[in-house]
Amino acid sequence: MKEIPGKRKTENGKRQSEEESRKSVLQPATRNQEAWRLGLRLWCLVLSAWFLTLFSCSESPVDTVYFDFSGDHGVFIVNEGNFMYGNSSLSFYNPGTKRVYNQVFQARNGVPLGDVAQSMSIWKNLGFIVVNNSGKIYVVDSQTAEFKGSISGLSSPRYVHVIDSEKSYVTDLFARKVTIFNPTTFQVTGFIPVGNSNSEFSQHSTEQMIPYKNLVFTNCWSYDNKILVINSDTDQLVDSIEVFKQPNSMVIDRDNKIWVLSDGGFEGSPFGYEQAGLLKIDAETHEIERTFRFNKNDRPLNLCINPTKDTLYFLNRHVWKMAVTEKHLPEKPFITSKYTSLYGGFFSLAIDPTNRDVYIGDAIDHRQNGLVYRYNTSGKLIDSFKAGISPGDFAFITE
Amino acid sequence: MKPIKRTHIRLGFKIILCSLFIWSFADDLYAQKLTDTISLHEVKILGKRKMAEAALHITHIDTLELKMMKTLTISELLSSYSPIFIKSYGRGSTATASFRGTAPSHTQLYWNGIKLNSPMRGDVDFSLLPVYFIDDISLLYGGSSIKSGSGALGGSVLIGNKPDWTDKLSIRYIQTVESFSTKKEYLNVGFGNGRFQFKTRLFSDDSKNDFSYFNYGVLPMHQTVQKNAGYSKQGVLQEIYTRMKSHFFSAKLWAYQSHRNLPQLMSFEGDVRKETQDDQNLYGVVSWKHHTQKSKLEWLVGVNLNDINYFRSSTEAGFVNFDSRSREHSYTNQIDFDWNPSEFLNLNWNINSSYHQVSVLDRAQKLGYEHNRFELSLLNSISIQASSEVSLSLLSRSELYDNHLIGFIPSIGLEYIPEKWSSSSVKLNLARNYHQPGLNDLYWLPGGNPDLKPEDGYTGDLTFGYSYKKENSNISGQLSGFASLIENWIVWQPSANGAYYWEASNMKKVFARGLEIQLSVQKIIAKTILVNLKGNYSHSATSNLNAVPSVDESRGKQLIYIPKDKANIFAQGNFKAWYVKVNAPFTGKRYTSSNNVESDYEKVLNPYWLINLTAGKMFEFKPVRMDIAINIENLANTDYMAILWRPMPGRYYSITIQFQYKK
Repeated sequence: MKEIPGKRKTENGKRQSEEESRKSVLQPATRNQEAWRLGLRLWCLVLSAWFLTLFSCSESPVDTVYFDFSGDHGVFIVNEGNFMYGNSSLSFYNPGTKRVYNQVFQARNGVPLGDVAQSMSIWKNLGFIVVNNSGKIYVVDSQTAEFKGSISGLSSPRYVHVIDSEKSYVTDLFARKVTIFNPTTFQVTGFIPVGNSNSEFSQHSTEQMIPYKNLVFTNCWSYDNKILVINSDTDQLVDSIEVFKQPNSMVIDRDNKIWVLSDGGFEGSPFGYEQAGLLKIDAETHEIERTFRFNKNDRPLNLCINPTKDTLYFLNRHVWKMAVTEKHLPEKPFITSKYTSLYGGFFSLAIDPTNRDVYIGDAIDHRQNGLVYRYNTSGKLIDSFKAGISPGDFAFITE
Repeated sequence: MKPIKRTHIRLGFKIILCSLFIWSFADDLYAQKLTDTISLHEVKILGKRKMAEAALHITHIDTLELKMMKTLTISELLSSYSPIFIKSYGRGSTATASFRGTAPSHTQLYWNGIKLNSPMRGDVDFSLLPVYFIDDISLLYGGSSIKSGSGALGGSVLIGNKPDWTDKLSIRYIQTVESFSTKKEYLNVGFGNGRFQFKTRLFSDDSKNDFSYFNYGVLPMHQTVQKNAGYSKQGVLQEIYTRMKSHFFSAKLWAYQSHRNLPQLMSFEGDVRKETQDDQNLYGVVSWKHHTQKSKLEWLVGVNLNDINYFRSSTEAGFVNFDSRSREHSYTNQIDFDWNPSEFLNLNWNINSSYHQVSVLDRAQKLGYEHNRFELSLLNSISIQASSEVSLSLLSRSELYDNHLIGFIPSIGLEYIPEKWSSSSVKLNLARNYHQPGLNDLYWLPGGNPDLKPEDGYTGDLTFGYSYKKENSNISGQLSGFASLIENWIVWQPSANGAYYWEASNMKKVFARGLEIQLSVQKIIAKTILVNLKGNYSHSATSNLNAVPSVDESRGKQLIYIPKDKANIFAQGNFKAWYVKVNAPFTGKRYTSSNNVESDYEKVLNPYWLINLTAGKMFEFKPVRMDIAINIENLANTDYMAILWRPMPGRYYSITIQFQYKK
């Protein structure tokens, strides 16, 4: 190779000058072309960094949380969640320690509760949680929340009522039957058909249940105005009582009178619209003894009764109470709702059977953790705590 | 959780990684000719159009991208190549858009000038629009969307069809066979000459959609197969074009039907349900255009007919729970006059009248409503080239719907192109826009509110664009920041008086803001390798400003199901007749509660990347061209959820064969 004058000869002499000659060719390269290369390299760096991060994240499994709710009595709160979101949940509140545990079912069992949990009933040490839009009932241990079994294959289940250790009923919104299952083995053993082929509406839906002697009374609220009477020895439908449109809740008092609260439907409803009302029915004769009517825009719901079964409570924007002997609806609310805006408000109501505390669920906008207020029997606020989305039902541990 | 197999994939990617590094350092200074096999469509005279688009924030998704996504729907196209977030319920399922953090009804879709949004719901199901049926697609962002119509608080999407006057006779057939018993077929026949074009497109898409997944929503958790998620779609598009001297006439008819089975959530264990949705769409548009040297007059008549039937029954009980039929008929009549009195000025007037007839009845629930609505919209638009560097656009719309008049819907745009750097630009847009309440919001029974006010918003955006072209390379990018304040946003909330049904009200005040970045690089390496890289990223925070009363924790929080971050990376390499493409969309975290709660159990939808890989080869047997491609979707077998408790498929495959004949 020819020596280039003025260049130091080294081991890499050849290579050096080649590089230099190449550089001289590159000299006229424009700034834009350099920017080009830089841009392309940056791109590749971004891509490689991205590729590397792709597999570096993984979700770590969540540990099981163990609960012990034995001892002091407490209350399970069933949070509905949003329809088709699958985000319902179970909470537990200990009134003694004023401590709330949320997401109890999932924390203990590792799977979600399901879509739209409607209600919970406790029988012996078992809690039956009805998950309406998942078509099943989850059974848990009421002291530990551990999964014990499930009754699946249901259509749109609503409430459970246990008759004895071999028979239990579950009502349904769409199936036109009451399903019978064994609360010990969790097997479905039969059903009671309650279809009404004479109506153009899908009847009858069945909702809450009230036992009286060997009968079970159930209300039919969806485009309906009946209370059905079932003989729980024979599992046969024996009678039906016509009430005000859309009966949504019922209780039985100390005189064996069944109280039925109806919301009357809604403006433009194909089934009709009337003022909301409250009825008192004799459980023995099935006769209506007294009626009460609300105002045109009232929408009362969630009828409850105190442990001594002499005082009724219900929601109608505020919380109202009245003695079973009253001849008129109450004029002033028992607990006033602070809501004045277009949404929110008291969503659910329950009375603690052991100490008569009043629990009120507030769903706020139904898209976030709801609030539960706890008042004592004189109407004084004792506590409030955050639960799950749309806290709709309460199940008290009494044993 | 589903186990992810990573070992061989890691190796594969290391190889791709290395190749990319090599390319980045390649010495590449050769004068090149760009070789491409993309057929060029006729390009209209730029002068007038460019003036009309001056100072508007508009982007076009180019033909290369359309070609790439040929066998998919517009929802996948927008998801990959635009900042619009698409919320999809899964393969073949409903897909709605969120543009700059707004609601689905705030993204408007126009097909050849007619609006396709549902007058009842206000939104568009983008999964019912095959990419194969469109020839071009553009986006108008924020206030610039007032050019196409009002109500697009996020922006609007414009899709269209145009003739290829060079086509004498062409036939194209594409068949795709995919996992889960999926088969797609497309046939396109066109003939004509320089004055007349006739084109028919047919397609069908069927799938059992029975993918396997791990169900962790029930006890015991187990591997299972998706049930009742199959779908079947068919469509036809007929186009006729003719031109003579200064007149241009076109007629287009789009007919589409889809039958979809709707699967249940992972936690469902109830009585077997049959839940289906059937859609039938018919869109038609007839247009006559008259050009002179300085002006263009267009008269357009369109029809948009939609039928949706939603059905649910429990099989064992045999009882129908829901059987809802909705029908929407919309008729449009539009006159558009565009005039360039000088090369520095463009004036445009547009008057659009639409008549909607809607009815819905649920035969099981016995509920429904009917309504007719008449709408009139007038656009005044001025675009001025104020100086060699600055151009201005002033738009003003007036709208009349039912008996409501919205007199002034303005949009001001400013564009600055520095003379020294003419391939870059800065655009600013400020606008006030209104969105009419949908007919469901007003009249649905129960809960509709006939006293609803229109949603209204102020929006602004600022965009920097840059492009650089050379013989063998091409780079372009855009960075845009936006902010909108929308008031009277309509929400459905549980009734205040305690009724079990929900009601519509002008509840919310929403503040949406963010930025969008798009970057595109094209390069030829070593004369024969064409490399194409594209990326886009958008960040949009959308928060609720109303939170009354004080216990409401949703104030300032991100709206449900709208991710803050969304991105897409695309890379393609062409070598002679071979090509490899990688498409990787990213979806950020989405909250499912209005207070954005996050815990081990309170579900937040986690962010995820997907990787889709395609490899193919083109063959030429003149005059027929053939193309075979193998596609792998979700290459990394990512376990993710787009919708809470709905499973998504893992890795799956398809093979596509395409035949094209052109005389």
